[in-house]
Amino acid sequence: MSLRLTLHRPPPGRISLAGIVPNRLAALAMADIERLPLAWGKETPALGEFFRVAGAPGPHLVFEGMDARFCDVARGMAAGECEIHGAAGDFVAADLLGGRVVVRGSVGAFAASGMRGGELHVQGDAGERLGAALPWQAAGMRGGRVIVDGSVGARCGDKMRRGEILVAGDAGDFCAARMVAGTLAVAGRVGAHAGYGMRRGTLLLLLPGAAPALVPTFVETAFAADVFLRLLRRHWLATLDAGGAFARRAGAAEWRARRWLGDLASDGRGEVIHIV
Amino acid sequence: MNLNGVFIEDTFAEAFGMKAARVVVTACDVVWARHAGVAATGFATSVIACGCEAGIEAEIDAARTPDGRPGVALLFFAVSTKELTKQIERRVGQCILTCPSSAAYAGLAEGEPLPMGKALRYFGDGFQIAKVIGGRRYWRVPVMDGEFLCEETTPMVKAVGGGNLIFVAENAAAALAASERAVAAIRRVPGIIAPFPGGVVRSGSKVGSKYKALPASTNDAYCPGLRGRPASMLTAEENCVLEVVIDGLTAEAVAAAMAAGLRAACEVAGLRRVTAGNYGGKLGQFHFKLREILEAPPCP
Repeated sequence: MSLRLTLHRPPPGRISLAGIVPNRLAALAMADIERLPLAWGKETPALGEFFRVAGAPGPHLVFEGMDARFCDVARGMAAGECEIHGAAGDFVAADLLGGRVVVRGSVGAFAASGMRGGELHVQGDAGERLGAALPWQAAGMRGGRVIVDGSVGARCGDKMRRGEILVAGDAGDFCAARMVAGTLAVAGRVGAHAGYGMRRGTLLLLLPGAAPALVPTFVETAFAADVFLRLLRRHWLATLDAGGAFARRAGAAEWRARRWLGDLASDGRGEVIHIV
Repeated sequence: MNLNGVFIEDTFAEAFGMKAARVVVTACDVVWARHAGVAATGFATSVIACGCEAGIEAEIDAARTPDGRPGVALLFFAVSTKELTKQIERRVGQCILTCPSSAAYAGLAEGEPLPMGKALRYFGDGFQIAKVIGGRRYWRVPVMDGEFLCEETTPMVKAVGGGNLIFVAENAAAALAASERAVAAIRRVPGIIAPFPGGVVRSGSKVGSKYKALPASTNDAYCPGLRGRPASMLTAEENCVLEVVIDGLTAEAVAAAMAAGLRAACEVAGLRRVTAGNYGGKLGQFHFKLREILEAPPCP
């Protein structure tokens, strides 16, 4: 069963869709869903003012004709599947606990921030601070998987604590900065200061060619974690859609790698692995 | 009942509930995987004095191991969760962690988790790294050839230990040939080990001893050197007896292995009869009746 929310009136500004998740809507009648209040500043317009509601409530929720002014899409979702046609704003799949979110477009900043489980698949680009911590938080993403077919902005994986972020395109500056743990893989180019302040965790760079320009507090090791990389690669090939942008890059050839340890100015147990 | 002219006694093997775990060990090639497996399952013939019974269940093709390298599957059986935990930690720590290029993975999908890498990670002295891949947690411990990768836990399941077949033959050559054929057939059954040397034990035991300190002693009724005494179970034509002990992850696997071993052994000339060890049925939860398991269809 699938519930379809089709945009019929563009939002007047940034509107939060927090709470509009399949596991919550499944228990409501169609009329109650149309009356659900949305947060727009101090006002609480009804969901039906912007969306035409069709189908039947169930584990599958579809947003059609979406606009980047809608933020908090699928925020805190615990189960089910949420499909977004078009762009989405900030905090997409933030605090996600479970289920799957697919965005057939691009997303704004802080997507997957605080995520603890489930999967977010962005078929376009993601803005800055994907999977990153909010300024007052000790850790960003804490579990689950994020796949971005396009590129991501600056500070992707900032203070990331657990889980994996797979980026098929490029990543901006300070990628994996202050990373606490987890795995962040980038198939394209990375910006300046990758791994800055990294404590633990793995930044995997899949673009062949010149070695990444790392801060001087990273040291190259004599060992490239072959068994771990084999395990990781087989896991990705077994679980990713073979036709997906990231899977095509990850599965291109047998991996040979160089490995750097750092950031030695921080805890120093992180690693940057470059697949050559 | 006769099978190929070999008399099958109307008796049963009495087996016991045990705790078991499977560990998959991979290495750069099958030789080093086997070195790790042989070391980890050494001195593990009987729970009486070894702490556990263990063996190499099978070699695994690279395509079917977690990291795509050649490997072996090891099975460990012990009488308690506490003992199995201790044995896994010690054997993986002393024999697999130490083996060049090796890695250790949980080999069962479900069961109560026993610590594996969880305990061994401390060897890394703070340089160890935890990684969660596909919901499973691994430890990467730096060692002198690179790093030892070990899954955090390995599941433990209830299992069956002590299935057995006793081959009574005209001479030692026939007893050994029958035992070898039986073990070869038994080892083709998944989830099974035969923990004794070559899968065969010559010192079959009975419960108790004239010496109070000993819980078990020689099975004098089947010792050819004691034939002729009133308690002997051997006839004039029976001159050598060997036993195969079987541990399995399930009662079905043990029954299938016993049937396979029985059928294979009975093709050997000079084997006169097959019997099984039991304690009157009062000690073990599992009774494998020789004639009944033969009636089941052969294991494919």
